[in-house]
Amino acid sequence: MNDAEPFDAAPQGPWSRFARAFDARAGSRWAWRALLLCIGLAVLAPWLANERPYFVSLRDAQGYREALALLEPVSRGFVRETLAAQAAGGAVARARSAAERRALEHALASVERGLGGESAALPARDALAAIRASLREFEAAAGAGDAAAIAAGAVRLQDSIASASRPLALRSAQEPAGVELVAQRSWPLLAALSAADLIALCLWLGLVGWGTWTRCLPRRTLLARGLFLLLASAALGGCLALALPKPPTQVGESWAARVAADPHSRAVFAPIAFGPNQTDLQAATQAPSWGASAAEHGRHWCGTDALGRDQLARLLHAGRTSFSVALLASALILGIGAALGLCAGALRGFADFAVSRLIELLQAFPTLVLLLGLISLLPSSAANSRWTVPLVIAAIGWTHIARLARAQALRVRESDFVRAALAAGFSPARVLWFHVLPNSLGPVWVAASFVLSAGLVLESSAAFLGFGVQHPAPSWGGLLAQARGGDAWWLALFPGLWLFAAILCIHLVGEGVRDALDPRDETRAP
Amino acid sequence: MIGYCLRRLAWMLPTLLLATLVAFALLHLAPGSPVDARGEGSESQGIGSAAAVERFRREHLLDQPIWRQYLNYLGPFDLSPRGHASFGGSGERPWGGVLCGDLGGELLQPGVRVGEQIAQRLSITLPLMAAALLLGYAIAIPLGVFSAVRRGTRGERVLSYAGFLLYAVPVFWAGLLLQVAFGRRGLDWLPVLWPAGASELRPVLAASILPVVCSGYAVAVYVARQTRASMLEVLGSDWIRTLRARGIPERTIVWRHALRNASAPLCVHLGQVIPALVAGSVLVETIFDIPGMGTYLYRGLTLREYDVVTGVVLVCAGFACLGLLLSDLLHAALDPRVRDERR
Repeated sequence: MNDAEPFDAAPQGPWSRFARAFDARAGSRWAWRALLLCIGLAVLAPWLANERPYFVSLRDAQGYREALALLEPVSRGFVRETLAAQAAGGAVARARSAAERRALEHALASVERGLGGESAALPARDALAAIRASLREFEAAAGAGDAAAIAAGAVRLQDSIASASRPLALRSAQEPAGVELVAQRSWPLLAALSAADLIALCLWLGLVGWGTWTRCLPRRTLLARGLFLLLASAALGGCLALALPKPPTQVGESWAARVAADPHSRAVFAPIAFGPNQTDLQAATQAPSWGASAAEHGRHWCGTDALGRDQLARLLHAGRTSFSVALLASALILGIGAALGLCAGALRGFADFAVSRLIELLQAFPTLVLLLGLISLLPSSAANSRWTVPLVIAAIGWTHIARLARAQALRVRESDFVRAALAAGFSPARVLWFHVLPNSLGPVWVAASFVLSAGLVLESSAAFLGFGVQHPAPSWGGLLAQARGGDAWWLALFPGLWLFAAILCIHLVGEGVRDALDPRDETRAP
Repeated sequence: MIGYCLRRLAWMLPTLLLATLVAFALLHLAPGSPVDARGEGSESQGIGSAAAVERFRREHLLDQPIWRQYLNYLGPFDLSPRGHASFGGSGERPWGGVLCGDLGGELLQPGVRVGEQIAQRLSITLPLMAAALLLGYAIAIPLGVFSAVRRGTRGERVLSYAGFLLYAVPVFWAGLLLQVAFGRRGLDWLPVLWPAGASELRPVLAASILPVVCSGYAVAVYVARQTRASMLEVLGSDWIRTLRARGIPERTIVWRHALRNASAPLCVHLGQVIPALVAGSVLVETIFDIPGMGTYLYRGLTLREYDVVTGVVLVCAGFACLGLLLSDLLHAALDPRVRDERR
């Protein structure tokens, strides 16, 4: 990785030699960086384009008003269900009563959180304590099973909630005696991130900062470092996901509207303050607004589609779908193809016959036709899964890699060092793993990047035809499908441009890998 | 040579048979059926009642085991209730199936034969594909030869960078950009969608320019790369140096000797270009709304029309096999070594 080091100190595995050769070329280095940027934009999409703010300081951040409005109907439902459970008994009635109890507890807790710890709200706190006390009384009566006490407890619970409505009400111009809410801080964007998001982020940061962190660790081979990165980012991402705050109560209005409604609020929004699926029919099919005269519905750098969704936000999030499908599919293709091809080439016999016939059969169909056929045949439950498309692409795309690996294995099998190893008494499994495998994989790695770009194109083609990963997850191909007919140039230009850039970077990296692996220029297309 | 062709054609039959078997099995083993697709909101056709569904299933053999359905599809005996007498039918239509040249009928539109539909749609798709292929090769070979001969010059470098960029452009994006550029909102030069029900030549020709350019460019970019690589390899060989030493004009060397030797690998690539064109036709025809094979396949897949999908897949596989045969024959015609091997 570092040219300044003395040669004998550098690690000597084939992986490390490959990494040095790859790094030595400026073109492939820059292509790798650009590809990392492309993937990074996809990984960072929720940070860059999100309708939730990073940070918000709002008076009603926890939904105090809504929780307060819910108290009375929920308590009434709780009383009704408890009485029904008393009368009829049975597990179902008890479960419904318990669900109502939880809803009531949730509303009470929301109100309590909204009040904060300020002493200014003392009457409100007393009212809340009264509600809780009557709730406990009612439950005790219900537990004892005394019908008269239950009825009295229910009346007291309703009364306490009714009498609490005044001290708990928000202060307004008409009634200045109510509660003054304290501004509360929350981190809605962080809370909405999933563990997969965070693991992907750690992985990406590890790849970007590769040179930095590898220098701090004891010297190991490239493979060991890669494994360490995988494990460490999985652990770190998982811990972060556990440590981050849980999502706040869902509220109907958008964050932007709530921030605008509260004059004392402060909020830091993402650079693109639109979610990928946030519709705004007022702003449907708008051309990009770049200049100072931003459109009245907010600035859309890449325009909006027919439902008023911001195209830039959708583009960024679409990269997540497309890259995850392509990366997963190509990993599977490499694994399946190399394994089957090596077995066929090294073992010959029936394995060779079966694999070769299977390859011929699969290659008799055009790939896209086969892909569409398989996806359309799956039951809708499987078709909606996010794993379906990569699995199907892998199931039909491994033939090229398998042919390459088979041809290589056939060649290596006849070479002297394999004969020598076998003659020396090594078991065939050992020879396959340590001698045939490493010496057959060169062309497979060269083809790997083209497998990745083919995966991107296949996924986008399928999504373009409506057979891709299901809505609402956007995908580059799905975004392009909206542009048919040529009426809105921005819908056609930007998603394709992004796809094009990604494919171009992958091709360039592939050229670099080819040059690094095979300086003799042997595997170049004839 | 004729014997070789016949042998190759005979080998195509098991492949095609297997292709129909696989397509048929996949379609019929998948959950969901055209009866479900048809039952939704089509009360007017009388399919809603249980008795009608039962009759529909019996007529189309959907209640039979799958091997019987496949035999019925394959032919030559018709196994339906009105089929051959020796298989329990009434004997009205004794023969049928693929072996008799009948690709079946559409389930949702009784009376429409898949074979006729495919023939009609092929009459649109085939000329488009042939034109794209010709256009692609006509652009690619001179460009490839140029960039191999003028290796290292500025023009060649620009060309190969442009080729590298264009190689990364997905076909459907190219189609959409062409639509935007030449459509109503752009230059407004050409129609971007196929004229519905057109019978005159002029509008059809005008509408087919963009699709042909769109699929032809993909062929051209691919073939130009291969031509360049192949030419470079040939031009570096010893016998070319010998020809130069004998004082043969450079033009003759390049176009007669080198290109002829370099074109053998190109013929092999023809076998890959044709299936790619077939697959690309689904995309291109969807973009430009062309009533061809691609859109027919698309319709068959979305409506779960068994015979449509199997028929189109059969024809596609046939084209792929024919493409391989064609490339082998061309290869043999251009390269005596290959020809001798096959004797």
